[in-house]
Amino acid sequence: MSDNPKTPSSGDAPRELLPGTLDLLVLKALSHGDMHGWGLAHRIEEMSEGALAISQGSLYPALQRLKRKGWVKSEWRKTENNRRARYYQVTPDGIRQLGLERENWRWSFKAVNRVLAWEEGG
Amino acid sequence: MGARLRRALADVVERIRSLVDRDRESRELAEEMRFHLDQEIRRNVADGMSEQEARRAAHRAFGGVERWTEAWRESRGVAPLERLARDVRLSARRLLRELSLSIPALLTLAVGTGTTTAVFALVHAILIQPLPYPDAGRLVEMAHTAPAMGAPVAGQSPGTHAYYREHAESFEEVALYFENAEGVSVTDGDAPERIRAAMVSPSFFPTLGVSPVLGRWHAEGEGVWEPGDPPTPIVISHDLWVRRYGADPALVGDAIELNQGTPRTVLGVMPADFDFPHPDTDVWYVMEDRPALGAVSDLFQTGVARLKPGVTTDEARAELARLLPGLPDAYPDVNTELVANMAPTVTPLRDQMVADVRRPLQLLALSAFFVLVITLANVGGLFLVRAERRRREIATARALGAGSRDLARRFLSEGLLLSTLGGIVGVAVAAIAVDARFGLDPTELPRLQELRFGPTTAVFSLAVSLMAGLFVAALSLLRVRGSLARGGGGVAGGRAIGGRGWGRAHRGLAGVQVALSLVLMVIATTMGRSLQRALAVDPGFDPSDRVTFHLQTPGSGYDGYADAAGLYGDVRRRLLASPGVAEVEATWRLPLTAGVDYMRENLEGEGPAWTGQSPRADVTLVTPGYFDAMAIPLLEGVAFGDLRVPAPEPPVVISAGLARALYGSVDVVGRSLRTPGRPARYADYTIAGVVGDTPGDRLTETFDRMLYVPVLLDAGVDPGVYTGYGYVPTDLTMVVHLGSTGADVVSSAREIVRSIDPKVPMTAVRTLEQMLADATAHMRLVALLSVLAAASALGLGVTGVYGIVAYSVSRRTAEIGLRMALGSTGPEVERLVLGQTARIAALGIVGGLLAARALASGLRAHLFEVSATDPALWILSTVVLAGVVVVAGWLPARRAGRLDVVEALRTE
Repeated sequence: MSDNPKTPSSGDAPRELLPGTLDLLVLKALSHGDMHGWGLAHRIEEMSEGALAISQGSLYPALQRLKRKGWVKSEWRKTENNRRARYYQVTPDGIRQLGLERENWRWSFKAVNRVLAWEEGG
Repeated sequence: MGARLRRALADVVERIRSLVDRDRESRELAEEMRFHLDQEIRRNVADGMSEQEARRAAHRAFGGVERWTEAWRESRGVAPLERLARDVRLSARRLLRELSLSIPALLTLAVGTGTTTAVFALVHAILIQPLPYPDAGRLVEMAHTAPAMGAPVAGQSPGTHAYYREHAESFEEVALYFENAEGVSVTDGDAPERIRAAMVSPSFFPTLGVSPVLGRWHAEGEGVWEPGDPPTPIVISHDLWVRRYGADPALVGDAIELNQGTPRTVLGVMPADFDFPHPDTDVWYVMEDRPALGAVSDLFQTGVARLKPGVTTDEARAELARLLPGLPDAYPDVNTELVANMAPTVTPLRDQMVADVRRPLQLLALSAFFVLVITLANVGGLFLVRAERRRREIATARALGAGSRDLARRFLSEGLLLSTLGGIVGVAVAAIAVDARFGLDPTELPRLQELRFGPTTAVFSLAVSLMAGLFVAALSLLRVRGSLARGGGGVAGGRAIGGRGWGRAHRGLAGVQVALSLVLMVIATTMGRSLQRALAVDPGFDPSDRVTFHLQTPGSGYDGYADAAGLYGDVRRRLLASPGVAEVEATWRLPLTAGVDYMRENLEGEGPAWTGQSPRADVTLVTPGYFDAMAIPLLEGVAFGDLRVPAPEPPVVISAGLARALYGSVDVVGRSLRTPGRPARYADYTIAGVVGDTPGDRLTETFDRMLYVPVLLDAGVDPGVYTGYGYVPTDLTMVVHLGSTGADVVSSAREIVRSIDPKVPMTAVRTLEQMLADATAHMRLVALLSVLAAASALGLGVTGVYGIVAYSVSRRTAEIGLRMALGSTGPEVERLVLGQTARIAALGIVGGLLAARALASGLRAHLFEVSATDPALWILSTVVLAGVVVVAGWLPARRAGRLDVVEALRTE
């Protein structure tokens, strides 16, 4: 069983996500307020200004994973339209994890950029 | 750190919860996804799409409900379990597709696992499991052996017991007991009942570490019983308590009447599972402390003791051996010659109890092990065939990316599924058989009461099943790996013949089955022959149309000769008047009644065979017509003659065996005989007649030196008339010779006895034919089990050989077609295939004969008048086995010989 989300290989995502980044995005999106899966998909899309169109279904395995790690929790609530929906909420552990992952991401982003820059300059 | 632990714990909890709540979680996920898609569709519609477009777009954006549900399931962490379920499902499907292979494999595994499990349960309960007493490993039996004095086994006497108990340091506690040979009757209430009783010393139960479940046991120091005191108290068995007294707790402290004597106080009730010294023991008396019995040489009692922790049986024996020479100092009147010639023995109590059945059970365990090996070889062979057949399938799976682990999982799940299913079937049958105690009577095997399908047996059967599954899986995996490595996939290989090594493996597995089948057949034929010999033993009497039963006078009221004789005489007279009765006679001891004590007398007389040592004879009392009623031939003289003529040396009858031992011939009528152990008035006899020999306790252990003393049952006989030992024994066995076959004399006899005295128990009612059958019951059990083992081995072995030859023919179809196209005839092809079978058979037979030879010495102890290496039996087994194997190989051979050439060539 792999810890990486299976990125869909079908053509409906314009760009494939780097492995492991979906968790980071979900945590970040949830840190702005509790949300159900559908809302989360659109929030991520909005936050990336449409650049990261993920396969919406991939959120559910990711949420399950985060839940198991104790970074998010969930409960059933009513929506404004009075329908039952599962809402996710980031936990304090999740906030801490978000910080860590953000650091990680920045560090590897910089490192990779540096490598790429060196190649381009050479 | 704490947080991580908490999270880890939460994770575990979550996994377990999701495992339990799988259905609910799946339902919730489905609802969640439905909500998601609905929202998306609504938004799309709001954006101006048509209903259909909106739906399609929503699904596209979602990316497949199925796929993400699957991914979600994996991320939940229970995937391995579900994968297992899927593996099992797929395996089941594959096995169902090949029923012609799966069903034989399943049945074979069921037979193998079931047999092994049943035998394990039996062997474990009887030979391995400690006795059901606390710290039972320290319990020992103390006895003596004095071979030079004609007593290979001798027990303890009150004297030796008291002496060892006082001086020996090796034991924590020492006890003494003996079983009452005549038995005891409970005479209160309406129906008298004959029960088994044991006299035990006060230290008996403390030594074993068992106390009554109800009431208490007599404490040492509570007083010593001496002759003339009121009767000693007793404890009774749980069974008697329930059976006769309706489990009435008030019985404790009350008294019950035994042998119509003064009632004895019931101190307590033993636990239900307590069955020492015998499963049927119902009463334990506190033994009287009788210095008169201190006659140290009466070694008929049994010692049981508890060793101190850390003391070995050898150390204990050595200590007793050191102490023994001091015995004459403590008991000046002891027989010093006996003491000088005897040696103490100390044996673990469990070993002593199961000594008689140890060897038969070991043989049984060995047979079961062979059946298991044959099972494995058989199923292993089937799976090799299967693996071979599936090379294409496997190669395809590999090409599609299945790794070694996937293949291993596939074979493992198939092997384990099959072995588990077979195991369940076999173990279920075994458990039923074990629960029914194999239909055996508790007295047929010691410790049979303790036989249970317990946790140890369950674990054992599970281990056997697992091992079988792993074995066949490993074999298939090795096979497939080997062929894939060599053939590089072999997708196209339909004709490719497996490596020579694997051909050898097939033949080897078949050879093992043949070899072990042969060993079991040799054992079975030898046992069968031994049984046949035992059944052919001439018992010396005619068992047909004869019924016997045992009567016992209930003690008081029957003190005088006339009263006891009157009882038996009345029964005899009234039975003779009943329809269908020709003769009614009586004896004190019937032949073939193992476990009863004979009187054994030393004899003196005159004659050529008379050497220094006095010969011993078993003594029994018989009515003069006994020999006629039993059809024991009178060889010389008369059956006592006229007993009303007073004679200084009254008449006796002896057996031919005794006559030869005494005088070297049976022509001995008129000679005199002396039993120096008897009072002078009853010590000297004249031999009036010689009769044919009858067996002693067992059919196979003839003790043919019988001395028959007359007893008369006519009430009111003249006291001056000669009546053998001068009394009528308190118990007698009546022999009824039927005038017409099948007459129901038993009911008449019951009616007669009840009407004469309802307190007289009538027991051991059986025909002489039943008695003969009982005498060989033990041998029949061993023979039956050996035959069963051999039959299942032969069945399994033959199917194994058939399967492998048939498979090899199918694999070589193309080759055979080619041979035939090139001119080989059908018979030539048949010979080719038969040759292969012959090689397997030859290999197996050689191996089997060697193995049987190695085991022959262990077989000897079971046999009666048969050699363990009887050439005729070995040849017979070999020929039968070879014949059956050849037939098994001939069927596929014939099929090969009749192949259609064109068809055969096309099979590629």
